[in-house]
Amino acid sequence: MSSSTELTEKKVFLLKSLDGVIFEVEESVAVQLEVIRELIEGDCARPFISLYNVTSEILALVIEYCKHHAETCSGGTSATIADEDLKTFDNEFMNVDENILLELCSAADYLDIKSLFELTCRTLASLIKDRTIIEVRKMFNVENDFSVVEEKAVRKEFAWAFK
Amino acid sequence: MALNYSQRPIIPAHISEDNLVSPMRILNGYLAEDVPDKNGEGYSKACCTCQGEAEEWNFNCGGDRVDLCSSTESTAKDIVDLLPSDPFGMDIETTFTAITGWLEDLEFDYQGYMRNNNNEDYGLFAGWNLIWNNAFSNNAQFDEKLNVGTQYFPSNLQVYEKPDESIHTFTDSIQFDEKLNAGNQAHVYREEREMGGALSQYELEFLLAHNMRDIEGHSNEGASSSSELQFGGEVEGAVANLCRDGREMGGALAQYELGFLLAHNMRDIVGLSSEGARSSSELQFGGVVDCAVNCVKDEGTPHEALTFAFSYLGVKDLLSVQRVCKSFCSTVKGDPLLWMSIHIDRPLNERVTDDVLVQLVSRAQGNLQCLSLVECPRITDDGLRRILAANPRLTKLSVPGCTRLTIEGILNNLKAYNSNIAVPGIKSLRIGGIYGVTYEHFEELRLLLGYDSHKLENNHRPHFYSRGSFYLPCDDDRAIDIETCPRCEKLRLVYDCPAAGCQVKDQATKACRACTLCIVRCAQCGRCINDMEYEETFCLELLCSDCFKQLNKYQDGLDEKVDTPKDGALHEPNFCLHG
Repeated sequence: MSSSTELTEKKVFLLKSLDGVIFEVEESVAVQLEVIRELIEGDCARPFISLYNVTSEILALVIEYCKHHAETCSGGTSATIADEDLKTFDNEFMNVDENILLELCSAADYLDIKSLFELTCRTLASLIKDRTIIEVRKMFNVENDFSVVEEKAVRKEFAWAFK
Repeated sequence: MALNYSQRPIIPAHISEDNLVSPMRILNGYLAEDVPDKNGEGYSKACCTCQGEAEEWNFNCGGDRVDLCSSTESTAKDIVDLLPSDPFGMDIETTFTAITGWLEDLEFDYQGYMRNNNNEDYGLFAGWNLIWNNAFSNNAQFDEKLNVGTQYFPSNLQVYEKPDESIHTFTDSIQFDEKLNAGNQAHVYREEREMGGALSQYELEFLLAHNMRDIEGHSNEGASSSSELQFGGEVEGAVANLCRDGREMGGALAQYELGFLLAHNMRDIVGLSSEGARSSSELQFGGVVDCAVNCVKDEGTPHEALTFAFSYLGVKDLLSVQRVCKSFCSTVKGDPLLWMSIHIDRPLNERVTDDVLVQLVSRAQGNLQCLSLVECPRITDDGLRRILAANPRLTKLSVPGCTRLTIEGILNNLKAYNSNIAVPGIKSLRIGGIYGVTYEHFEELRLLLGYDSHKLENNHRPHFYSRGSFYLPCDDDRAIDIETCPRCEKLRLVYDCPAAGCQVKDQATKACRACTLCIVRCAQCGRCINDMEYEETFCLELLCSDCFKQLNKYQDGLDEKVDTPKDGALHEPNFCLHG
């Protein structure tokens, strides 16, 4: 038996984040999360669905994204206007700091939301693009774990590209 | 094996056997290659007053040879020690004006932080054994023995200074003051218990820096000491930071400092002659400081999601990202899916040769599907053959503007490739800008690519001429980019017109569709400018009057946001060929 409530006429699912916060989402939103859709289709969405890899902060964002996309797509507006609307929404939605972006990206991967995954990946790629190594390390807080020798070797490789 | 002035009777008396000859090993291929010439030159110049002794400067750089064990014993029994100190009665003590003794004996052992590595790692780089006595410069005040031994450095870094009464031909006292300071500083820092390993290298680095500078000074190539000092200062800062942090990070920091040190040496040796080397050493330096900072943060495992983004990066950024850290490096190298579609254009296009392209493409491990080389002037037909031979899944080939490729070469390569039944064969080809394409070639290509020329002619997206997209992109569904120009009937790239009145809606209005020779187009928006006003820019590009006005407007008031044209006739300049 799923967690759907008959009161609203709409199926509602409960998603539980890693830190125990429970979100209530409509079916139109939930099915965008491929992981959950499989559960719904298999009628395995028990009282609530535990999402162990996503924190409440990120899950809230993900749900916001899915909600907006679901509403825009079913809003009855013409395709081009909907596209424009989604584009502006996506641009604003991606206007977050890198750490949230990374979390969103891995959440989208885990929850299997293709459009969000691609959006976050593209945004991340545009952040990395044309940056120096040092800038990338700084931006994403990555440690240089090469030994001197390894670093030399890796710098030697394709050195032509950096002349 | 070493610069050995042991014939001087004073030396055995002052230097213990252990330290008489202690190899300084530097893991740096550059050093091994560059040093012999330069140093030899420097010293022999400086030695001009005593040519007879020049041969006794016996400098051996172990090139590719790996010297794992210390040569202490063998060299301690150096036969030179057994020889008379002045066999030819040349009165060395007076002829040598500047030989003053050992400036330093450095024993530098990497075991401290190479513990985890296999010893064979030494084989990866050129071992370098060097002992030299910095005989030309000395100062009596520097009678100080630095002996720093720490838990990270089983082998000590030892510095011996011998005062001498000899004449100074080179006045290096200032440098020695600095060195002294560095040494002292190091001692102070050493008091802080964790920093031992790092600091001993810090010291070493200073010494090396000075040595190199000495060489330069002697070879009269000019001094770059100011920049060195600057470097020293910054590293000092990094070290100080870490000291404050008070963590145990000797190993990591030590490595980075070593990197710094190598960068230093390389630059100094190459000297003023090579700009490239200079900048590369600065690059390394940048890395060093950054690393030091990151060490302090005690974080730094990259987020897994970052690697997801790699598939959206171009070749240049992938190559850049693999230098960031180990896990990125292994991801970029090891994931053939990242290399399934290789697109090379500016700025890499000028640098890509056949060999590096083959190397790059090999990362796809035979899975390459789309290869796009935009204006790569160094790629030859043979390079193309090698790529095709190794990548049976390639279906899209784009080589526009690759001027060294010939149409015959391309045709032959494609014939050989597409005749193989096991491969899908090239389905899409871009050869815009390749010279000498005849109708025969075109027909052969048509057969090879297997498309129907009549069917495809009009069912495609319009291709507009503009600064960033002279060539038809790979993702266009046309099988081949060139076609017969409706006006001159030559096989060329044919552009559509973005101007409102000229859009190709149906076959009847083909009026404004031709190659750039027949219809001159604006470099910005791509519209035809045959019968309207236009301007020629400094780069000999033609701009239609609308775009020119826009440009002027933009230049006049950079703070004013330029309105995009309302009629849709003008397009934003697009510099991205691969979208």
